[in-house]
Amino acid sequence: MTLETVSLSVAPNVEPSRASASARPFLSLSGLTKRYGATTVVQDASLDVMRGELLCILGPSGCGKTTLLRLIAGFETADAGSIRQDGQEISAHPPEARDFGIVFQSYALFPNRTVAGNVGFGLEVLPMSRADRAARIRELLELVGLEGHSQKYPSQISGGQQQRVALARALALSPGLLLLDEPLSALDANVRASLRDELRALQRRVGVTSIMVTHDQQEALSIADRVVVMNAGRIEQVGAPAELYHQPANLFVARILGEINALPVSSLTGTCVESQGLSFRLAEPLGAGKPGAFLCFRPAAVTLANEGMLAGPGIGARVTATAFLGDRLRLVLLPDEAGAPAITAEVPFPRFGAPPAPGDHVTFGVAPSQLFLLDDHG
Amino acid sequence: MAEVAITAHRPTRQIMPDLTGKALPPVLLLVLGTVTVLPISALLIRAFLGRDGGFVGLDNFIRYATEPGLAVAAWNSTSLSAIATVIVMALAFPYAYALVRTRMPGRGFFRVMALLPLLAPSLLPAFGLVFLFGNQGWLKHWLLGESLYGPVGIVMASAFYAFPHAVLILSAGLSAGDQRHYEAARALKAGPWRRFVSVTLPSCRYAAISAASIVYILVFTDFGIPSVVGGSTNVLATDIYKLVIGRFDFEMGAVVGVLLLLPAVIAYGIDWFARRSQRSMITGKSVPIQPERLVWRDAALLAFACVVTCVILGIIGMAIYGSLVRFWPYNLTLGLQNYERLFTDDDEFRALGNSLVLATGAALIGTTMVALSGWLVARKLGASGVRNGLQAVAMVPVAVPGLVLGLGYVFFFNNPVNPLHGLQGTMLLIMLCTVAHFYTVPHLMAVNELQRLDREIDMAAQALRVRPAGSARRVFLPVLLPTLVDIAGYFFVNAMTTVSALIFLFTAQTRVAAIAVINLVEGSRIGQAAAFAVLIMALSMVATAIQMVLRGLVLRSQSWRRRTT
Repeated sequence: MTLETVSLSVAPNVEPSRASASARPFLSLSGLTKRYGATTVVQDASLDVMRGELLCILGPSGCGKTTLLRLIAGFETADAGSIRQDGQEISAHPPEARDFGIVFQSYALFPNRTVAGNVGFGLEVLPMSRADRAARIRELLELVGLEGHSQKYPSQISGGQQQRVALARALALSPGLLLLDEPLSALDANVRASLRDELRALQRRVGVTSIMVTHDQQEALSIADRVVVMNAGRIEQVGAPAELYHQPANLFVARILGEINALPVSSLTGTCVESQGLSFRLAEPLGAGKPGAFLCFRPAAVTLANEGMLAGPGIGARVTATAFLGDRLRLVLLPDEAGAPAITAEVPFPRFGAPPAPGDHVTFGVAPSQLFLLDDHG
Repeated sequence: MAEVAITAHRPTRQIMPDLTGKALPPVLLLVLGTVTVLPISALLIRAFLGRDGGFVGLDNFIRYATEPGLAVAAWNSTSLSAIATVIVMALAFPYAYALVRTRMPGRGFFRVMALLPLLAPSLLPAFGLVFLFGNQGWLKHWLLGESLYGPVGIVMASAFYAFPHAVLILSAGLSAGDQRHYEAARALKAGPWRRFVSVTLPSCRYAAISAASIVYILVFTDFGIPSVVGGSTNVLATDIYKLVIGRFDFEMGAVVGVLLLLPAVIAYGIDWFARRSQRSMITGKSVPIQPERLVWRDAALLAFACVVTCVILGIIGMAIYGSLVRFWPYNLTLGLQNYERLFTDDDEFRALGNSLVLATGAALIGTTMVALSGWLVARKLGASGVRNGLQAVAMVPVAVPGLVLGLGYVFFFNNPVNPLHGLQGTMLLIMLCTVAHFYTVPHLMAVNELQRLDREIDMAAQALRVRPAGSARRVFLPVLLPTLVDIAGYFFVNAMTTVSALIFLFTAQTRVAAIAVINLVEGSRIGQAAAFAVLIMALSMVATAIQMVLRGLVLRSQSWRRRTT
C-alpha cells in the first residue's frame, strides 16, 4: 500500500443538501425501535443521512439520542426496524463488521499507549508496512494539528488534545461513517467552541458522512447541515438549522432550540390573537387548518417602546428582574393586565442613558412577523 | 472526489468470528465451578446421605446432636470465637484509629507491625504462647493457675492471628471519611470528643460490623491454633478432622462441615451488606481526611500501639527463640539444630520443597485464572448469564472455610464415578484447591482495577476492528500488570501458610510444610515445629519483598503512569 492511496485528499467543498438532492441516502434508518424491558428508548425512528453531510441529533438527556447512535454503531441491537448503510442491510452485523469510526465524550483513549500508539491501534492489525503505518499516523496527526505530540501519553496532554487524538484514531481506518457521541461535552467552554469549529472544518475537508449526538442546541445549530430533534425516544423534526429555528414543528422543538415565550391562546379572529388578557397582531391571517394552541415568540422578538417604533399598540409592563448579558439585556416583564403571564425579553443594551431597572415601567411590543402559533406536540 | 477515494482505498480486513467472547466465559465458568461449587455441593449432599449412600434426611444431624461430646464442640466454637472477636475489636479499633486518624509518629512502622502476623501460619503465635505460658512457660504464673491448653490458649492465639485482618478493614473504613464533615462540625462548635462520637463513630460502623464478622469467622474456622493449644477442648475445626481422619465417619464429617459453613455464609452475608452500605456513604466528591494533631490523644495512642507491637513481636520472637533452643525447656542452649534437622530429614525437606512448588503453582494458575475472570467480568464479555455466573462463583470461596472446601474435595474427587477421579492425590489438585480457596479477593482486585477504565475503551477498539483478545493483550494486560504481581504474591503467601484446606488432601508425597508443622506437633517435636513455622514466615517475607520489588520495577517500566510531561 502506498502513501498515495491512503492519503486523505482534501475534499471539494460539497454542498450536501444540493449534492444529495438526487442521490440515494448513504445511511437509511427505518422503523428503528429499541426497548429495555417495558420502556421504549427509541421508537419507530426513520431517518435518511446523505453522503458527506454532518447531521446532529439533538435532545435532552434520556431522549434516546445516544441509544440511536449505538444502534447505528451496532453496540445495541434493535428490536425492530432496519439500518442500511451504503446500500447494504447492516442491522444484524456486529460492530466490528460495520464501517464506522467513533469518538466518545470520555475520549476513551488507551492510557498505556502514546498518542501515535492510539492513532495506530487499528492500523496495527492491517497488513501494511511499518513505514506506511508511521506515515499514515503522521498524516492523521497533522490533520488534527498534533504533530509534535506523537510520543506523549494521554495523561500528559490536555482534554482538547485528547479529543483530537480520539478523532484521529476514529479516522485512521478511513471509515465511511463518523459517529460522535457528545464529543465536546467534557471540555471547557473556550476549548469547546474552538474545537467545534475545527471539527466542522475537518469534517468538510475529509468529506466523511458524520452523525453527532449533542444536548447543546448552540453546538447543533452552528455546525450541522441538518439537525434531528429527539424527544422521549421519538424523532420530532428533521431539518436545516434555520428551518428548525424559524419553523419549529411544535413547542418542544421550539423550546429546545432556545428560550421562547409560549402563551396559551384564548381567542383568534383574523390577525388578532388574544392570550391571557393580552392581545397581539399576526403578520397575516392564518390559513386553513387547526391553529396551534400556543402563541410563541423568542425573547429577542420583544421590542421596547423607546427603542423603536412599535407595530400596533404597546403593552404596558413592569420590569421585575434584569440580567446583564454584555451587549444585550435580559428582562423579565410583568404586564399591567391582571392575570397575564411574565414575559422574557432580550433587548440591546442601551448605549446612552440608564438601562431599564427592576421596578421601571415600560411599554413593549412584538414584531408580527416573529409571532407563531404552535401546539404542545406534533 | 475525496469520498470516492476514501471508500475505494479503504483498507479491508477479513472479520473473524470472536471466539474469545463466546468460548472463554463458559470454559472458565466450568473450570471455576468444578474447583469450587461442585466439591462444596458434594459435601452438602453427603450430609444428607447414609453410609450406604441412600437419602436419610436429617438423621445425620440428629445423630450428631445426640451423640455425647459432639455438640459440645459447636458450643465451644461459637463462644470462644465470640470472646476472641470482642478482644480483637477492642484492640484493633484504637490501633486502626491511631494509624489513619491521628498524627502519631511512626504510623508506617506500626502498620507493618500490625500486618506481620499475616505472613505466618496461624500456628506460629500458638508456639510463641506455648513457650511463654505453656506448662513449662516463662510467664506461666500470669495465667493465675489456668492452663494455656484450652479456651485461654485458643482465644489468645486466635486474637493474634485475626488482629491484622481487623486492622486492615477498620483502617480502610476509617480513612474513607469526608474532611468536610469535620469542618462542618467545627463550624458548629463541636469539640474533639463530640466530633469523634457524632462524626467518626457513625462513619465507620459498617467497617466495624464487617471487621467483626470477618474476625469471628476466621477464628471459628481455624484449624491450626486449636490443634496446638486446644488441649482437651474440642472445637468444630478439630472435630471435623478427628471424625474424618480418626474415625472415618464421613457422614459426621459432612455434618460438621455444614455447621462450619452456615455461620461462615451468614457472616459473609453480613460483611457483604456492611461493605455495600459503607460504599454508599462515600461519594466520589469526598475530600480526604486530614487528621489534626491532638497531643494528649496521639501520645496515649502511641503508648497503646507500642504495647500492642511489643506483644506481637514478643510472641513472634518467643516462637523464634523456642525454635533455636536445643530442647525446650530442659536444655536452653541456643543453636540451629532444629533447622538443620528440617534440611537433613528427607520427609521434612520434601515438605519444604512441596510448599514452594505448591505456592509457585498456585500463584501461576491462580493469577492466570484471575486475570481472565477479572477481565471477562470487568469488561462485560460474553453472554450476561455466563458472566454473572462467573462473578457469582468467584464470590463463593470467601465464605467457605478451608476445612469445608478440603472435605468437599475428598467427597468430589475421590468418587470413582467422577471423570476427574485421577486428580486425587496429585499436587495439581492441591494447587487447584488452594487457588479456589483464595480466589475471591484477587478476583475482586482484578475486577476493580480493570473497571477503572472507561466502558467506551472496548467500543473504541471494536470500532477499530480489534477483537477483544487483541485489546486485552495490548491495553488491559499492561494496565493490570502491577495488580497481577500483587495477586501472585497473595496466592504465594497464602499457599505457604494455609493448612485447613489441605489437611484432608495431602499424601506422603504431596505433604507441604505447614502440614508438616502439625505432624511435628502431634509427635511432640515442638522445637522443630516452631522452626518450621518460622521458616515458612521467613519465606513469606522473602516472597513479599520480591513482590514489592517486582511491582516497583513494573511501575517504573510503565512510563505512561507518570503524569509529568
